[in-house]
Amino acid sequence: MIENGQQVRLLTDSISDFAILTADKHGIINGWNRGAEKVFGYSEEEVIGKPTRILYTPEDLETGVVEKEIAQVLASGWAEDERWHLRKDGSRFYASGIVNSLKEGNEGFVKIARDMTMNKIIEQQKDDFIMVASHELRTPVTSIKAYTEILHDMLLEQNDKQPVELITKLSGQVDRLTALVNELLDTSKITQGLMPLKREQIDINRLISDCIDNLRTLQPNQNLVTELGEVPEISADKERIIQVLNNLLSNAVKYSPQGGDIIVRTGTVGENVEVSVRDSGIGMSAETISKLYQRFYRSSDPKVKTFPGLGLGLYISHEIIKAHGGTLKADSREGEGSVFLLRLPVTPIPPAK
Amino acid sequence: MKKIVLIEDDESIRDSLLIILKRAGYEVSEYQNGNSLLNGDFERADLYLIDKQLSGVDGLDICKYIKSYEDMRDVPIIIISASPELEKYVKAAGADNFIEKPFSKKRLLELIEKYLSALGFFYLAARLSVV
Repeated sequence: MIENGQQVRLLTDSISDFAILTADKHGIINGWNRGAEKVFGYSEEEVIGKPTRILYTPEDLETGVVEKEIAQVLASGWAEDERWHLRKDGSRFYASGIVNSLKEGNEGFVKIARDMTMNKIIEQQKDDFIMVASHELRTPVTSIKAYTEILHDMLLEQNDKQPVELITKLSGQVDRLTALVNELLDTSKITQGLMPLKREQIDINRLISDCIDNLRTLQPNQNLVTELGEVPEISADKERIIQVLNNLLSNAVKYSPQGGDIIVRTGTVGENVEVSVRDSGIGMSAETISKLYQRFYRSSDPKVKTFPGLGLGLYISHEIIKAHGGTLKADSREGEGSVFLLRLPVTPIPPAK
Repeated sequence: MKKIVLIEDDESIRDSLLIILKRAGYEVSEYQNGNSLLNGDFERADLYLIDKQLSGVDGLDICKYIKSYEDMRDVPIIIISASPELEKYVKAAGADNFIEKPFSKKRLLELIEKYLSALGFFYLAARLSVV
């Protein structure tokens, strides 16, 4: 028995990057490995017999995080540990780990955590960068757009064909630049939790028809088919839903062959309105589908025709639909095209966390 | 001719908006900041278009100042916004609407038109009846 215990001790102490600690059901620390010494800064003698509360931030202590964590572990056998913790010297580190219950002997738990502060900081810096960059870009983009529009109008008045053609091309590129900045801004809003919805009663079939009409003028060769069922009005942010529809439709056009079918259907499923957008492209692998809604995801499949962009369109669409309490899912078999299924609740429900 | 006071510290935005507004048939007075206005050099206009993030006094504070005058409450103020959480602050400052950068000429003119056209009267009446 003792030998076995020593072996466990050797094993846990050899893991120096992970803090491993055990505590009884009241949260009193009774085991502390070398990794925990390194990560938390307390020696074993200093913490044995002390409550795990000493490792938490005042904010977490105040909101009862410690008690909730212990209760969850004892009840379900498992809890996630993703939070800021306190070191002995009062500094903080971002821990990522798990808490598991110990079933043998006295009821208690083991907590295994790793210092992920650097990753957390990098993630934060990335978000901050997107925010600052997009905010700084919007002012010059606004005036470039304004000057381009003024020039366009002036040249049109003079009826001078060649410059009008050029300025129209320039306008197209400015719009593209504006769209990119808007995508970055939307992403920044989402990560900061600042994308309020302006809900109103909308007729989704009407919005789809408008989007399709618009697309027909831009893509006269594409075969756009609509099969719109009778659906109730829904409470949603009109501009945001149009943004999602345009994103799904433009993706369908991008990934379908020239003249290929794009089929848009609507219907009711339970308490939801469902919209499906089917393309006639080469389809997607299960791996691609699992990554579609990640920020900045771009397909690396050599078979896939790629288009310039930031890889934010579907991420934003997915977040918009989530904020409405709806779902956006993709289904595809390679070689058979893809279908995007959008479901929105008829009566608004709070978004799932 | 309807008169618009434009307060914007970014030179390129101020310059381009000035051209757009003049070409749309408005008389425009342009300012880099709200200092002279706050110092009592109060220029009356039919509509104020104010950038939120001005160097010096913030656009929303200028808005509050203008709206603090009883006889100015009905004069529409549109804030040119730069941050996404602005909407609630814009309303709190008493502004009538806001437009977020980057915007198109069409959207800007439509928004201004909404307040300055004959229809603007109805918007105003609706707003006053709420207040």
